[in-house]
Amino acid sequence: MSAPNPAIDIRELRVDYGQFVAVNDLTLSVPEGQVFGLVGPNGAGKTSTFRVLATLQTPTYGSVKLSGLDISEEPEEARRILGYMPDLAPVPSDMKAWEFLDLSCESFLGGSAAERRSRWEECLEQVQLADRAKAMCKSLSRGQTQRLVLARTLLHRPRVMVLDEPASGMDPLSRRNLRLTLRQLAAQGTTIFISSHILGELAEMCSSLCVMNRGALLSSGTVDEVRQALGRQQRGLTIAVISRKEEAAEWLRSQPDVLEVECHAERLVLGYTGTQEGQSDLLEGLFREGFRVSLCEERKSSFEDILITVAEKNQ
Amino acid sequence: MTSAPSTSSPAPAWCLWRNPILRRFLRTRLRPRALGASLLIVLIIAGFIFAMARTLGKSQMETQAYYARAELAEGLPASPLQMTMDSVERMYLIPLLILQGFILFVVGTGQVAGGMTADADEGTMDYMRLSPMTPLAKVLGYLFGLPVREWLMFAVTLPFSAWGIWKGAVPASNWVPVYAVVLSAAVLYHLTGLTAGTVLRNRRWAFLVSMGGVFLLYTLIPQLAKLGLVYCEYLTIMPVVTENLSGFLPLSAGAALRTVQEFEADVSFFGLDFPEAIFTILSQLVLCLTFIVMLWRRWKKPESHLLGKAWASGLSVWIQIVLLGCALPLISPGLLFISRRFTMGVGRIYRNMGNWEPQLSEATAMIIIYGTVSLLGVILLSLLIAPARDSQITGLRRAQRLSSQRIPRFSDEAPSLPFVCFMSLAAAAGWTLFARGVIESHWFPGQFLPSWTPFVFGLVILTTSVCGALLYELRGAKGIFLALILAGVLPVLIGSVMAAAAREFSVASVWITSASPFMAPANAVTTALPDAIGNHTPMQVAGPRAFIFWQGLMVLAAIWLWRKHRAESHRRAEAGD
Repeated sequence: MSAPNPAIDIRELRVDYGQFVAVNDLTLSVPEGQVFGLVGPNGAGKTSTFRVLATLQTPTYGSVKLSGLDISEEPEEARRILGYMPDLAPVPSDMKAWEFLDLSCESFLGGSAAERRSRWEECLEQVQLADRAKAMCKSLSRGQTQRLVLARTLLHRPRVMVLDEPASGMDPLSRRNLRLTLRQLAAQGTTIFISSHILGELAEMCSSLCVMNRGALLSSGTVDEVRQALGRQQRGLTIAVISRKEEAAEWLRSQPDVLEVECHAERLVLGYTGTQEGQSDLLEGLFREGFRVSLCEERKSSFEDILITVAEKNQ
Repeated sequence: MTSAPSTSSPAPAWCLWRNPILRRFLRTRLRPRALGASLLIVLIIAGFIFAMARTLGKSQMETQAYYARAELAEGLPASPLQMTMDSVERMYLIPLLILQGFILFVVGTGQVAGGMTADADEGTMDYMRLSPMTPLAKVLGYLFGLPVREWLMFAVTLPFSAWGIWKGAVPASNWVPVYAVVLSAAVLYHLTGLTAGTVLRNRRWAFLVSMGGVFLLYTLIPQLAKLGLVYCEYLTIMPVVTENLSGFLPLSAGAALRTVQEFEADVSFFGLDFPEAIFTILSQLVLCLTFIVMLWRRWKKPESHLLGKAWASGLSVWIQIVLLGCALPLISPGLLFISRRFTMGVGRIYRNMGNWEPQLSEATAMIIIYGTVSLLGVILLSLLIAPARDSQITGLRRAQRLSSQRIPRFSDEAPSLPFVCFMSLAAAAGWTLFARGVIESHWFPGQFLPSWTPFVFGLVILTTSVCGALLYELRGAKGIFLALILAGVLPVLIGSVMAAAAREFSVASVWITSASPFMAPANAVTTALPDAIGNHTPMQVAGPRAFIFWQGLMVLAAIWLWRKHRAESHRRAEAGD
């Protein structure tokens, strides 16, 4: 029996704007039912990738398949299984919230007015916006607008959801609800491809993610794998010594793989690039030299750190 | 596992009542408050026209009746009444038609262009792109949805017109063609606005460009009909309205107009007679179809050219066919010449047609205008199909990925040169046939076009359009703009100033003015027909010489640009960038 089609299958995707290469030979595969994050600094090629996936942009070359459907050959069919939420979540200024959803319902699902109403009411409930159904779209707050567009994305029960910065502008409660909604959808088999600048949340939401820079894929895998692959050089250690702090700092500076040592009250904060074994040897050395260590803490690099590093490399 | 989306198949494009985009606008553009205000304004204006015209008419009728009674009382034979109740009821039909035209053509077109741009501006057009509706259904949804309020405003004026048509006893043979053409023209104008709104991103610009486009396409260009390009007239409602105007006027005025109109010819297309309304609607349908193709392409692929290479080539041939088809049959009776029409107008008034004969200079002017319009048409179509530099690079990368060194010939990214050449030759052929038809007609015995004329006409259109297309492909819109200003406009301005400044500069001014490629058609015609302007003065002698010199330079420029374009294409192909 052949393996099932991945929900998103991108092969050697390239997107050019004249001489500028926005996405360079991107190959990526996302299995069904995953919440997959896309991280990268501005200009990394995230939005271009998303727009190609959403059939809104023709790539220079490369193939993109959604649940086995080639989007360049069957764009209309691909759109039926795709839910796309663009960045900044635009809404029409001349429509009411329910009219906006009803329009999408009608163009995707058809059916009677009652059937459509039942569906958009369900989606509005899902994003906790039922009480604003009759409001004009332009009167909604930023967070409410985001939720409305999310509701629109959910309307036709897409198998693949591509969400560009869905949480921006949402209050903490809405963010938590978004997280829950996405997890629920993923549990039901929906594949979610999501980008966000609130990286901590992305780490909490995603089962896997990839990091892009200058149109290329830097790393891909589970959250821990990516963190290790890109963030290994950024490990920070905090060591508390009871006495002879200055001497301990001096000794540490002389050790290999120690980048810089800062003294903060009772603690020494240092950057360390060595292996786990080297880290163990370092602590043993401290004890051997007679320093009384009361605490040693490893601070793993956050996604913010990773992104900042990537962005700095970019410059 | 998520259940599969329970989607029904999308409604076919022609099922307008099931079109979600149309239904969207039925909701948003027909909100009671805004709609009520619009309808009220229209009702007030239409009601005012109706009441005012009727009151004035009745008053006129009563005055006439009073004098008739007075004449009878004095024992004189009473003058027949000029104004009857039928005439009174017709008095407001034309003003109402103008109001209806304003609502549909001006307000509607502006709304379509602005509404389309608003969707693009707000970013919500992407939602429509994402919907699984067909591109044609999307085009039709916007086309009939955006101006839905204006259609309704138009509809509320109809009862007044219907009353006038009924009570004024306007024959169906008059009002049916007029309203049929009003409707087809409204769709055409709205398509113009829709195209402008799709191409432009700024709402204000979209409105201005669509209004400018409508004015240019349907007001200025039709004026060329008076100068030999008869077909252009059928892009407007004017021929049909003029033909049927007598039915809309008070009886006495209508009768007078019918006397004047009895000499007017029907549309004779290559000798086949068509009713004007049918021909106008067919002409407008072709243009509508072209706009729909443009919009369809944009909905299908947002970055695509407005017209494909094949469609543009076909369109250029079609334009020549319709221009010739309408013009050639009018040469023999002399109706192509504006002086003949003028003489006929005067002759009808004074009951004296005189001994009219066309002047060679008038024929020459018409041939020059035909050539210039053909040249501009080819340049416009060339720029529509010429790929920008970035687009060529993308196309080449795609082709190389597919292990090919060439971009598919009909794709948007492919060089436009073969198609530009084809369109140029088609235009030159049409121009030659027109020139030959006019000059070698029975009106100008002894005149003929030299055998080298087709070659020269071809060269004029070919070099200019090829240079334009290659320049665009190499240097983009900025290059074209600079060339237009520096080579196209500036020489004409400088030459004109010099000619006006002093007689001694007249020869120099001819040489400088001839540098503009837009003067080439005029120079080519006067070179081919020296009798039209004479060849006695230094200025007359300088014309053909300047033409040959500048045309030689244009040929060299075209060759140079072609070599440069080729070299760059090879470099790109080898570098793989």
